[in-house]
Amino acid sequence: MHSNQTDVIRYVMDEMDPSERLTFEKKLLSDENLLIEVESFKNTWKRTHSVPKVSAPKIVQQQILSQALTHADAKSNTTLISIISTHKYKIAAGFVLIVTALFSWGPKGVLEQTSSLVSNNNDTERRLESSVTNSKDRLELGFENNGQNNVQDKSLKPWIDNNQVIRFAGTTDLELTAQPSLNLSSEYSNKLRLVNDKTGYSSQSRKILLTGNTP
Amino acid sequence: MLKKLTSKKTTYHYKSLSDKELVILYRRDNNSEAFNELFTRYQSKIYSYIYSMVHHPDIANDLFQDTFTKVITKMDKNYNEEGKWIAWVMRIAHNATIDYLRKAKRFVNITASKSEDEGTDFFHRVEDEGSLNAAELYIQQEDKKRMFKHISRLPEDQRAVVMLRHYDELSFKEIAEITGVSINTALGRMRYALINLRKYFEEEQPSENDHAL
Repeated sequence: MHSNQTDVIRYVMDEMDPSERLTFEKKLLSDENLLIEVESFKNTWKRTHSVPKVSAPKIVQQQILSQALTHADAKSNTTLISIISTHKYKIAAGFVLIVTALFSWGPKGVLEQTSSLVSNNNDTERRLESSVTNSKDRLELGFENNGQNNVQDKSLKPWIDNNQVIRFAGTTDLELTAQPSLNLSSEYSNKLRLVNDKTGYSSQSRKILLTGNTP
Repeated sequence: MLKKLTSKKTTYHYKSLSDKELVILYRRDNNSEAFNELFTRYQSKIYSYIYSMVHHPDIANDLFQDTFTKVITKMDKNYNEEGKWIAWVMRIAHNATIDYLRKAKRFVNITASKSEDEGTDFFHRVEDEGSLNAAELYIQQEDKKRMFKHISRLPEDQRAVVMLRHYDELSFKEIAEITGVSINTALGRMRYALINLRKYFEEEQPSENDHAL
């Protein structure tokens, strides 16, 4: 189309920039036919403004709005799923990391706790054993577990103090259900009685100290 | 703008928000109130455009609903926030209308089958424009009816340009994009539409004079 013809429409429809508009208006002043054409188009366009606007029927409007609401609800419900599916690798990696951390910490902690208990017991045992080995005299002592064959013998040697009293000290493992039986070879042991030594004993390591002296 | 719209549950004054802000609220927060506001702003312009192109209330209703079904389902993927929302919606409405007209032309000539009574429903639903007395209202209604008939006589491509400009105040760049032609072609169509309308008005003048006599 001729540029002059498009300029007329652009001028009537107010689509020109200010400088173009000024130039065109100057041209209008010198061209009467162009001015008549512009005015004619302006009037015709003005008359089209009376073309009415009409709303869609209410029922159609309601259907569309409820459709939009349903769509929005469905979208918000799937948002969580989509987040999970979008970040599934990150979530899986995070889960693996947490599980690994728990496993690496858990058994270690348990082991540490167990080892500390074991070391406590060992210390107690060591202390008791040393007390036994430091004693001057030893005697043979055995505990029998009724119904079982695991008999543990410890050698304890008696010693005599300044008051001519026979004394001995030592430890031995004892099952809780076990009935202790003393197999002393000497007649001196007839008056010996079994005493509980509460010092240094724990529930994990029930032991009995045989001594003539109350601790 | 984006900072202003928090993603937390907030009560907005929707009427004061721009189209872009409303679109963000609907897309990001699934805020159906934002969509309601957009719909309320433009439904009559979109419906009027479709109606002016097909001249049949039931068909206009169907095309209007199809248009918004596409808008609702495709807004997340297809709408680019750089452009005007209404221009994007008008493109959907225009494509739906043109598709319908092309299909309809294969079977019947719809312009030939138009009756005088068609459009009655349209004018019953015309938006009220204030406090006019009965006589003024009648004159105005008749004037609108006449104008609508003239516009409906225009060829489709010219009518589309006139209606897109009139109802939606779109620029010729936007009209050219919607209708798939160059800006010069869109301007040319508008020029021919105005020439034709002028001719129809001139044809109308003698009959009006006859009535006066």
